[in-house]
Amino acid sequence: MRWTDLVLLSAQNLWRRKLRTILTMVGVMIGTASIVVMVSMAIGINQGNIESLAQTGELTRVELNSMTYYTYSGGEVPTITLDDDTTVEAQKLDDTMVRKIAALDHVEAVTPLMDVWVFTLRTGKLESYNNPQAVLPGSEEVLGMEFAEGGGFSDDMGETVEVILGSDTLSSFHKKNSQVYTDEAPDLDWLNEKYSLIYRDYNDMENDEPKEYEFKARVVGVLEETGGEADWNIYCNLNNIKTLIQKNKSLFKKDSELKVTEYPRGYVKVDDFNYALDVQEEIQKLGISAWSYAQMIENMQQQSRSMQLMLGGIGAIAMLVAAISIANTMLMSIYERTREIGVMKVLGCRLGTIGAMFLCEAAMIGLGGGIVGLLLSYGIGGVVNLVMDAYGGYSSFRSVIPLWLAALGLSFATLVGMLSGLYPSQRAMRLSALAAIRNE
Amino acid sequence: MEAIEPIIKIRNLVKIYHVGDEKLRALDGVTLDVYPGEFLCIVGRSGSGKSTLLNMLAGLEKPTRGAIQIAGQRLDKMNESQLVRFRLEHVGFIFQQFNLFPALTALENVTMPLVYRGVAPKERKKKALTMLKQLGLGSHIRHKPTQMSGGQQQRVGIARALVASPQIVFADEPTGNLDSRTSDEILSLIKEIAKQNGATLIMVTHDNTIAERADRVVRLLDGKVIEIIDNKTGLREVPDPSPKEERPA
Ligand SMILES: Nc1ncnc2c1ncn2[C@@H]1O[C@H](COP(=O)(O)OP(=O)(O)OP(=O)(O)O)[C@@H](O)[C@H]1O
Ligand SMILES: [Mg+2]
Repeated sequence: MRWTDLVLLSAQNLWRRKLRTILTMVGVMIGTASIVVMVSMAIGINQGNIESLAQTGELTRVELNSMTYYTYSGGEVPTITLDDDTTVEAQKLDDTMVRKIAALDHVEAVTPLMDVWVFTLRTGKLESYNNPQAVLPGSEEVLGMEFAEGGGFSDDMGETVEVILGSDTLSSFHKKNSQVYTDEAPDLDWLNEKYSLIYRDYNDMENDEPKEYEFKARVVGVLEETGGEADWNIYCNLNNIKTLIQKNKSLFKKDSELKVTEYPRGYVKVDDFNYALDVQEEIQKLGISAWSYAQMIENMQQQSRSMQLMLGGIGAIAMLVAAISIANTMLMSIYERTREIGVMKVLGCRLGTIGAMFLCEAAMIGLGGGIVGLLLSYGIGGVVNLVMDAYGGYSSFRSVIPLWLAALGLSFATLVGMLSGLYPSQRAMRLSALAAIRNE
Repeated sequence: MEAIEPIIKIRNLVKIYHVGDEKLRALDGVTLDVYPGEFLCIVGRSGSGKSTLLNMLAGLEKPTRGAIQIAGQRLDKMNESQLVRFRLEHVGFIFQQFNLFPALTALENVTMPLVYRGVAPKERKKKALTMLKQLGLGSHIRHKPTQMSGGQQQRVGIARALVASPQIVFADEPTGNLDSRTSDEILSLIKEIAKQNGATLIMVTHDNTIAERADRVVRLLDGKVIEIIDNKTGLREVPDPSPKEERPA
């Protein structure tokens, strides 16, 4: 018999029992969809997110948060809970601590971050409404800075404050007290303008206006847009700020907002993403709260893994049930067609052909269920991606169905069909032609 | 006719069925020759073993003892795949119950044996159409079995049995379910086409008017051949009773 005839006859036989065929396919469909979606999410999470995070350099970064900075002295000492559920007392994030952290294994660089929002950056008549922060030279790499113009901080310890502008801060310059906000950056030669840092002393008011002190500043670099938080920051060289504060002790002593002895935050760059979690844990042991994208990704991976496990379980069970129901459907169909099979044998249809016909039917149920299941997977994947996109950001699972996965899903479904059809087709081959045509 | 080499040689054929503890001799030492192109009728009372003999000749049942040789091949020595192959190459079978494929049209039913033989779609359709037209079913080719009368269904059955031009055609009471006039027509058709193909026709029947139209008639009783009548010469032959040691009297 020609194989085209074989396939055609099998298809005809399935079509004759549409409802039963479709019901049997549903099992395969659910199984295939569960398995494909499972694998697609495993692919999605490993591929998409880690890649995009790694690009911004944020994967190797650990963020430090002081838990003592904002607590009043005399209050209860905050604690940090470690992974093994033990707790440590929170410590100050000061220069000593920064050195300790820098000495940890796999730590490439550390920078504390000092809030210097008491200063305002000014050029000509324009002031930026972005609050400056101060970081150490060398933190350009920690923060993943890329420069559109100029470069990073120098080692200069003088009191002229070096400044790096985030890409979106350019449009934050406006005339003081102007009510008009535009997204347009003023047309300036950013590296060569004259800048100053303004300190307004609200303890020394004249005509309802605080007294202004002006310090020299110099923009050394403008950042490329990264999509990260650096876009919105104005970074000052911490060394210059320290010198400046040192030289004007009497002025800044009164300002409780300007702490010099301890930092609220800091950043650590780890040499390898895989050690980020270890470093994070070590830092916590020192009494500094730490957080990293690695942590988040691990959480995501865990979530995704448990989801995959669930889907895999559903898939495996569905496939098993599907296999049983295919076998059952085929056996039923053989029972109903006993006479037909007998007649086929009398007419000279080879045993192998009869077996192949039933195997083909079972495989087609598998393939059919697989195809619908695959379409369903694309649908589910699309919905998952849509929902995750709506929640946005890095916390998204993604479903990615590459061609090989689609092919694998279909082959697997077909294989399940064929395996389930194996025994029924043997049964069909072994039916006695005579008994078959005798039974009325 | 005796000078020609028989196409079917049956020697001392025995078929024993076991029903519970009872042994039932459905065939009890049948010896018979059938010649090419011959129309042979097998008659006898109900339960005399006619169907058993025919089924065995068609390779549908294994003999308990004895030998069957058809077209130079020993059927009793074949396994099931070989038997199927043998049928594919030599045999057409017409059923009393028609046994058409219910889901297929008349045309599709007739093409099936050709499908099994791997004949190309165009050619098999042509052959099947010719066959159906010859049987007067040219206007019913798209009908399903349930949309046809018994006589029409049997004509489809005949077309299906003969479409691959088999050397030997077996028919077990092909007109058993039809009225006498239709029987007559059907028989004429089978005979005509078998003759045209040079096929040997072996038919089981209860119908004396049919048996009269055969070349030879074999009568069975209790699994034994009790007489063979040659309708052309009018000669009546009574074979030797089965060997004494097989079954003491
Ligand atoms: N599969 C079987 N198992 C047991 N006994 C059987 C079987 N097939 C046939 N027989 C018995 O063998 C004997 C011959 O049966 P067979 O069908 O050959 O008779 P027949 O001559 O064709 O009768 P009828 O004219 O009624 O069709 C009967 O007694 C029957 O009961
Ligand atoms: Mg019978």
